[in-house]
Amino acid sequence: MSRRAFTAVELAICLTILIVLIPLVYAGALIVEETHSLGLWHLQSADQLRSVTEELRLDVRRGVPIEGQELAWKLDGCQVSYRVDERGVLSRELAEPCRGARGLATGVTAFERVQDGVELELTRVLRPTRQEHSRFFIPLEAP
Amino acid sequence: MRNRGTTLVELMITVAIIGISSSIIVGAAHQARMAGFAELQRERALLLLEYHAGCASSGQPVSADVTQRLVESLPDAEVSSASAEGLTTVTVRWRPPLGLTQERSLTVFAAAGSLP
Repeated sequence: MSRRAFTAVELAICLTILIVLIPLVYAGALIVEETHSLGLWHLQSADQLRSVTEELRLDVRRGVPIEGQELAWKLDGCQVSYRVDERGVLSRELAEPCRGARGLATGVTAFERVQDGVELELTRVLRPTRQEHSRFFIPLEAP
Repeated sequence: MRNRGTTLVELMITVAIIGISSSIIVGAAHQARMAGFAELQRERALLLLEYHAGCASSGQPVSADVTQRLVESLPDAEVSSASAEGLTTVTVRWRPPLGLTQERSLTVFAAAGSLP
């Protein structure tokens, strides 16, 4: 059996292959992880859209709009309003005396009254340089 | 012990195994993403369907502007409705996202006057 040490050329080839392979594997894993995470986010967005739609529709149908305030109703003696906090959580809040809040959606970057309905924008930050947005129009004037 | 390097066939088999494995993993992740996106589209279609069914139930006219805004994020969406004996059948059809071939549609039956 011949035993010999590796040459500098062999070492250079090995290192070159490793230098190419390691970022490739890392990038591949990152792409798979991002793709999978986007799929989950779409599912979560669908679920959140349904929650927001149902709550809004019930409030529009049963409540009395409060003058001068958008997305606020008087309902069974309570004041109901929708608020997006600084972390992007949309919640339906009940003012005194019926205190309470219920989170409806996360990653909310826009929630505004527009003609005939409400526009909701959900955002997912995948990495600092890449964000995904989904914008939805929820009709409210429909019965 | 016989010492020899790898043959081209061995190298090709190794590369093929790595290639097939990675394409399965990437394909599965893509499929998961498309399934999630299809669910989101279904929710958008449901908003459109509910709007039309609500209008049919209450007798209110359908707003072209609202319909346009609901349709614009659904590829090739079509809304059709037919009325017979006080019952309106509203159907929404749309093209599924890339990679999914099955046609998507939702149908609802709305009785006139069923909403206050």
